[in-house]
Amino acid sequence: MAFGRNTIVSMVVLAFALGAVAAVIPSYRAAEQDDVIRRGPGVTEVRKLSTWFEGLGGTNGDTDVYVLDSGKPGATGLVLGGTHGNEPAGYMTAILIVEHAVPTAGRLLVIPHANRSSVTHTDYQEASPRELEFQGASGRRAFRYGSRATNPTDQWPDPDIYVHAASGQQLSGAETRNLNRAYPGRADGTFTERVAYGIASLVRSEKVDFVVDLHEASPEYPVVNAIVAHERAMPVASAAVLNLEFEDITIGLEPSPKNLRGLSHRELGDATDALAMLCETSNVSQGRLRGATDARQVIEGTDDKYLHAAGLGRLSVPFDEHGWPMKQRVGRHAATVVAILAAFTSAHPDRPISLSGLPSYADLMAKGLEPYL
Amino acid sequence: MSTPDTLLLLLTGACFVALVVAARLPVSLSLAAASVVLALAAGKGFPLAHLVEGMFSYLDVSLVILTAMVFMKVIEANGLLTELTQSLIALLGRSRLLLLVALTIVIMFPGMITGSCTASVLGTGAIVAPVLMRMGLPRVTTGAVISSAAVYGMIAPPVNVPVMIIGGGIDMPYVGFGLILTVLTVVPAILTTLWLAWREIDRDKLREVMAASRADLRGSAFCGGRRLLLYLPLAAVIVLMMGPKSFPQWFPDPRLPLTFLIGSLLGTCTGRRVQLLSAARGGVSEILPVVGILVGVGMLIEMLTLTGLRGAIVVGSLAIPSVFLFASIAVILPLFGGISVYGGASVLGVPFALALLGRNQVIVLSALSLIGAMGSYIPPVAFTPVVTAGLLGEQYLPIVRRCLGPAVAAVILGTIILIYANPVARLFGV
Amino acid sequence: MITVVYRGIVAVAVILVVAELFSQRSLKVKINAGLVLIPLILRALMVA
Repeated sequence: MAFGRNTIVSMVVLAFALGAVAAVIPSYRAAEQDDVIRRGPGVTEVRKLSTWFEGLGGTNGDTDVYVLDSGKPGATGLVLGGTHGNEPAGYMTAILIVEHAVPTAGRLLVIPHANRSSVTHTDYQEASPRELEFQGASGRRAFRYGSRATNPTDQWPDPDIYVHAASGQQLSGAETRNLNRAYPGRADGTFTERVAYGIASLVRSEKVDFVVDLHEASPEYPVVNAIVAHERAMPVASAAVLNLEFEDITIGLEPSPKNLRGLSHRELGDATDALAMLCETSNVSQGRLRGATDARQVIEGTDDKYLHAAGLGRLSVPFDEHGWPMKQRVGRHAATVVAILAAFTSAHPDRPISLSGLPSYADLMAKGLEPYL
Repeated sequence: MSTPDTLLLLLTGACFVALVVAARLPVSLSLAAASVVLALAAGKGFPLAHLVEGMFSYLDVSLVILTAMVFMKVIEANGLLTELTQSLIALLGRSRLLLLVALTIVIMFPGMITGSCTASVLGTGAIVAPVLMRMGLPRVTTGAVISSAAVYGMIAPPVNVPVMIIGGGIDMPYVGFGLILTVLTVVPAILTTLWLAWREIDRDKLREVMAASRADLRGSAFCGGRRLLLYLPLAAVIVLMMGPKSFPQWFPDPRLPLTFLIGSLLGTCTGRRVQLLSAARGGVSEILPVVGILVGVGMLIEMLTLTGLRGAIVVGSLAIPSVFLFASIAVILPLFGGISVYGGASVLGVPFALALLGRNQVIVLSALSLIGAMGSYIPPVAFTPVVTAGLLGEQYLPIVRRCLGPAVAAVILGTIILIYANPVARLFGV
Repeated sequence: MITVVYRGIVAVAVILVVAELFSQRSLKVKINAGLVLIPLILRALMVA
């Protein structure tokens, strides 16, 4: 059968489209492979989030929960990294804790990728790098860089507006895939609401005493380099801020807004007995003012456009040519977790919780992250 | 803005204009080609993965316009559109003012519910267009009236996506906007329609058309139960649009594309016989250039981000001395709408909102969305006029020209409200 | 469930756009259709 010219041209165009599809599929498939996270000396058990909520079994929401149990009585803390896959200092800190920390009192639960789906894709129009590469002490280590939200392949389509189930609060439709707008979650809700429900169930079942949700924010965002604390967590958070001052780490303290619903520091604080806190560091790679976007920018934290904006007085943090490198952001988060543990122990001497083995802020600033990877 | 950034921006713009004007390429292909040129010039090679990722930016909107166009084709073929047109004229044709006010609200309605100007243009805009033209309005004026009402519908409550996007960027819940947004949209929308159409309506023709419509309706093939059945697709679409917003706790949300498809399927069973496949193919054929533009816009913004030009534009806007801040908002925010209104809300709206933190945020965000929405008319994308032009089979630039006067007035209004945000807030009790 | 329905909608859209690609004679229209197809196919496959 002979094809006409029109058909041949059509087939060529179609072949180009299919070729482009075939060419990008491997990069999407690669993003679905979990990063290698090593069990450190303090890890006593690795469980799945579906242990606490079976509805997540077999889904991309079923993330690893690392248990670091000292075997000694004390408090139980929960550290959440990777609520947002584009805030890497959060999950890199959680990974650092998993690979190095040894509990000396109480029990720490760590979820490096709270929204596991969020690191399987990147945000449209953000030109994000797919991977962050480090020459670690043990060789090359690569960690995915992801999105603020759940992958549409796990939850789609979005509604026009997202209505937070517990409060009726309305947000833009895309926020329906934001884990930190989905708490306390719903067992029969969307993928993201089910992940939130799983985490809230863990907090209740394990009688978690406090939750630290590790985030990052852009340098122009008003709440950055800060702890946001639920009102019940304020005493512990403010003591942690003082502890950090002794290490020359300046950090702000913000009350959790009562009218902004769905966030971990609001809903986990309201719906469970845990003291809920959220920590922010300053990350240029998620800001709207940033220059050319690549993995270097994420890791080194420098940016010429932000430098210009700092000169204009448009930023919420100091910003110079050193920027806010990953080692500093992870150092701040790690120090904040340790400070919160200490503050909780001081406030509740009958329920101590402590860690050893975690590099200090000064260590990370001096040597970088690589020796610990 | 640094010299390399300026040169890159000029190169991208020149490439785009040359392709559209000299090479007569469609806007979509010109945007895609300009994106590739920008990446190559900035030393980023041919970043296929990023280009493809950018293509996804407006996938959901594309599905809305594809299915809305199919719905429109179905109700055109099954007789509902004609019936609706005649009913509206017969009902409201007695008064020019009443008719124009009512038609403006009718056009705005789907946009108010969904936050999408496309839903307005291709939903009720398609119904109102023949009414306006039968009243004696030229095609271009008809397009301008539909475009402007659709743009106001997009930012009218209850759903204003630009405000939600900016609010999301500064952690502000979408609460307390109802009254101010109603005032800032419904009043200007009606005034704009009157500005555009009042003098062009031929009163004698209107009387004639009203009489003819009444006669046609009396002689219509659809009467009694058949007429009710004919309206079923429209009723279903309205219920499926409003239900999830009115009763979010128990009404399942089908989203817009499925809503329009259900309407289309119902349309094939009511009224005159319709070939769904040919309606669908006709709809896709007509609207595919617009879908292509959305794909191209996504690619371009992804490349602007990759190369750092997006940041250069934002920082450049913020670098303008604060005494000129309001002027720069009034100019730059709509200009960015020439690429994407939602993109402008996210990329520029958030930094501008942060720069205005001392003022009442409800008023600031409402005014920013009003100013930003006027970017809907700015070429090269000029999304709303382009969709409207596609609907009417008209060139989009004459429609843009007709809309510009009222749009400039709206930008001035928005800027005044920004400047006096706090007194306005007291006035409205927010 | 809603995701399955929407995959179906996207699949139908892919078929209609391919039909448009083959039925139009203008190369520009064909390339535009090819461009639109890329994200539609990837979403229909639920790869991205």
